[in-house]
This record gives sequence, structure tokens and C-alpha cells, in this order.
Amino acid sequence: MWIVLAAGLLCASAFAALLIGAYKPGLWETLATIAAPQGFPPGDERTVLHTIIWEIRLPRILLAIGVGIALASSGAVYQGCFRNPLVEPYILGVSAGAAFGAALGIVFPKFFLSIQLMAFAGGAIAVFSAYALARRNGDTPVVALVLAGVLIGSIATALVSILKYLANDAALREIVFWYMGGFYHVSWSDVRIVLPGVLTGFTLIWALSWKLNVLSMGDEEARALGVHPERYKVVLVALATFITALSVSACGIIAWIGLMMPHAARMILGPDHRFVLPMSAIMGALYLIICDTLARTLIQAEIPVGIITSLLGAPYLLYLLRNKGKEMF
Amino acid sequence: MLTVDQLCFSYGAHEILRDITFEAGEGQLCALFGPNGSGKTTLFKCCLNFLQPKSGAIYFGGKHIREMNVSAMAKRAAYVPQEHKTAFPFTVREVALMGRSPHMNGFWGSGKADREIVMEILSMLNIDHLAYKNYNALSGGQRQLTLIARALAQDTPLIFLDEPTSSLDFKNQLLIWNLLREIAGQGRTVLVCTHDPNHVLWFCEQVIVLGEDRRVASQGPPRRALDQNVLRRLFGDVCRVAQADGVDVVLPS
Repeated sequence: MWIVLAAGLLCASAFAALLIGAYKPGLWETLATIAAPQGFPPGDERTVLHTIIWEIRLPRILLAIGVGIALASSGAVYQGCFRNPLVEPYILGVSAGAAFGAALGIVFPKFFLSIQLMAFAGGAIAVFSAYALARRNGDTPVVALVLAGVLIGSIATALVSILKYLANDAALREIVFWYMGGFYHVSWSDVRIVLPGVLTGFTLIWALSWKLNVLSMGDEEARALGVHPERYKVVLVALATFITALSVSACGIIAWIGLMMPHAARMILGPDHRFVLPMSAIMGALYLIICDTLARTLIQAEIPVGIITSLLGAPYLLYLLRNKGKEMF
Repeated sequence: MLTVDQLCFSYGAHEILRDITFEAGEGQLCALFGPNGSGKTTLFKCCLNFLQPKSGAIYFGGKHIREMNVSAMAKRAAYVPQEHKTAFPFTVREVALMGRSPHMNGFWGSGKADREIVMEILSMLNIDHLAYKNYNALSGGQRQLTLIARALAQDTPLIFLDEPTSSLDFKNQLLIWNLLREIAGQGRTVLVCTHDPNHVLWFCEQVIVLGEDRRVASQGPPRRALDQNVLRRLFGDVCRVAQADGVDVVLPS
């Protein structure tokens, strides 16, 4: 019920975001343009509008949806697998690791595989190192994992800085803009890579959501309940890291969504991951569309959306820690 | 039902269990008794395949547990940990539903039949009024009952319980033990790890006593296997066995 409502809101806001911006088309004009993907005959005055909708706003909105789904649902997966309501791709250092991988791919395009694969490798190394650092005697304390993630993230960020220093002008420019986290130079080629990848990853994760419930009870209990803990954790964390890496390689680091959305979904629907996953995915997409629309309309120039999500997200974590601390640990 | 044959276990060079052999029959309420550090929990974890023994074998109904995969194990043995809190605020019903996991096949997880089974078990244990309450917000006894409900939902011939009454008040201790007798009476084999000799004498049909020397100190019906001599060997001169209304009671001496 709530999920249907949220999905409806997502569609409405995606459409509204098409209308909002420096150029403000009318409702009917926009509908006519959407209905004509091939474009208008030469000389038609709506050709400009067609370019704005089909080449700029639509891919941008679709990418925001893909990235929102990826970050929010991978946050829920990390939280369930590590039994830790405070982790998400950014805090665990996965985003920074993926960013380092992608930056390597940008600076040395000849030596490395595709940017996406490099991002996945970097993210996977980061999540594995954070987990290995935090694990003591078969236990992974909540705060230790957060600290290990911050540590790994800061190392990866430092490595990205070294790459910036080494990069030539063109690569430096590319890294800086992409790293700030934004959707400005989104093209259909990004959408074509990210959206199908994220939707496939999300579907596979959703299919394992009951297993994720059982895994959140701890390794021994999961095993006694017939869910192989190591095997399913590796699969789920790999899928979450994969969709995180895809979105990082397309639009840089966007923080906090993976923390805020699963938590909000849990407050509405309870902790069952079968409902938390789709709900937080939809809310993540919705939230990113809103933030991105703010980013491009708030002032004359464009603000990187990563800055907006951080400005909103950090106080949210503070609120969680101060008011909900007892329920969360 | 459960056979443990010459089991040895060590953590590196540190030996924990030596040559453990015992059997628990169908429908038996069997205690695993021993002082702290005698290896009760390790033995438990070996039986549940959480730990690999150095040598020896464990059989469920004649089948070697090494030959069973995780889901086959979960259909034969349920595990009730000491009551704890979960990372997320699941309801009592959701926690109990997880017991149905080994029987679920399909994309979505629990079905209608699973939910009905769980509600039946919750009302059998008189906790159906808690079904939609947050598990983490309950009392220790209620949480332990929920975990037992989960094990019953798993519907296995064997149930292992790790110190189920150690953190409960007296009334809840008696409630849980009577419940365990009832469960055993239905034909399930119930193995309980405990360090309270009175609970063993009052409620169990069989006891396996683990001694300080890492071996089985004695085994059999509690009256015989946990008598004055065995207690003296385990604990020294701190307690004695007396009789009250025909029931054995361990008292301080």
C-alpha cells in the first residue's frame, strides 16, 4: 500500500522534474514532445524543447532514478548483512574505493579495464578491507565497522588526490567534476549502462530478501535456520557493491542516501527486508530526483547534488544518533 | 536419534573435548551438564555443525552430519540460542516465521501456510497476544519463548537449547522447563545445555556430565548420574544431595 503510494509519487515527481528548470515548457508541449521521441520536422519551433527533454532532462532523471535505487538498496543490504544499522556505501568506504578504481580508469585509460569494472574492483576491495579490519573474534562491533569504513574511505580519498596530482589537465577536469557527485553531463550512454545493471542487481537482491532477514540474526542462527551465512553474504554484498560501483562510476560520490532511505522505510513498514528493499529503492530514487532538481534550479549556476545530499544527510544521522540511539544498538 | 561417537575437539593446541561418546533417544529430554569452561557450548556447536571436530563422528538418526548440507541440517535440528536482541526491531511473529525458512521454497519467502503454523505455535505457547510486538522490547522470558516458538516452527526431530533459563526469573525458569518436557513428550529429542544441577534433577530424563578433564564424567538418569559422588568430583565439598517429597535437591553443605 505504502509502496504503491511511493511509486506513484516517484512517477509524479519524475514528470514534474521534466517541467522544471531554466527553460519552463508547458504541460501539453511537454507531453507532445515525450510522445515524439523521433523529434519534430525541421523548422518546428519545438525542436529546442525536444533537445532539452530528450537529450538533457530525461537521461538525467532516469540516471537519478537508477542511482537512487542503487545507493538506497545497497545501503539496506550492507545494514542487513553486517547487522549494523549505521553502515551504507559511503560510510563503509565502498563509494570512495569505487571512486578510486574509476579514477584509475580515467587517468590511465590504456592500462586498465573499463571504468565500471575498475570501480567495482575498488569498491569490493574497500568493503572487504573494512570488514576484515573491524572483525575481532568472530564478532563485528557496530562502531568498529563504522570506524574501519571511515578509515578505508579516507585512504581511498587520499589515493584519488594523488591521482588528481598526477593527472593531465583533461583527465583532472573530468575527475573533479565527476568526483563532486553530479548529473550534469549525463548522456544516454551512461543511462544505458547504469539503469539495466542496477535494475538487474536490485531484482536479484530483492529475490534474496527473506534470506537477508535471516542473515540479520547472525551467522550461527542463520546456519541453523538453513541459510548458508558465508555464501549468501558474499553474493549479497557483491551485488550491492556492483550496483554502488555502477552509480559511482556514472556520477561520483553521493553520500547518505543508503543510510537515510532504509531507515525511513523501516520506520514506515517495519524491518522485513521484503518490504524495506523496494520501499527504500523507490524513496531513494524520489529523493535523488528532488535533490537533483533543487541542485539545478536553486541558484543560477548548478550545485553538485552530492553537496545537497550531504547537507541534508549529515544532520539526519545526528538526529538518529541522538534520538534513536537506544533502539539501534 | 542423536549419537555422538568418540568426539575430540581442540582450538589449536588447546584441547576442549576428549573422547566424548553418548546417545540421546527419541522423545528424550536430555541435559548437558558441567561447570563453566567444561566444553558444553563447544560440544553443542559441533553437534550443530558450526565447528568441525578433530576426530569422531556425530549422527542424526543414523546419518553422519558431515554428509548433510546446511539446509538438510536445518530440517533435522533446530537451535535455540540464549535470548538476545536482534539488530532490527522484528516482531515476535516475524522472528518465529524465520523458523519456517528451511521449508520455504520460492521467491518470496513465507506463505500463508507458514503464517498459520506460526500463529498456532504462538497461541500454544500463550504468546499470541505478543505476535505483533517488537521482539527487542519484550522481557527476557518472552524473548526466550519466542525463540522456542521459532524452533518449534522449524519442525525438527531434534532441538538444541543453549542455557535457556540462565537469565530468567524463577517463574519463567519453571515455565520453560515444563514446556521443554511437553515438547519432548511429543516425540522430539530435546538437548539442553545447563549449569544448574537442580534443573537437571527435577526435569530431565537423561544427563551427560562433562568433567574438568574434558571427558564425560558420567551419564544416565540424573538420579544416578548426578549423585553426591559425581557432584563432589566436579565441585568439591560445596554441596550435597538431599531429599524433599521424594525429589532430589542439591543444597549447599
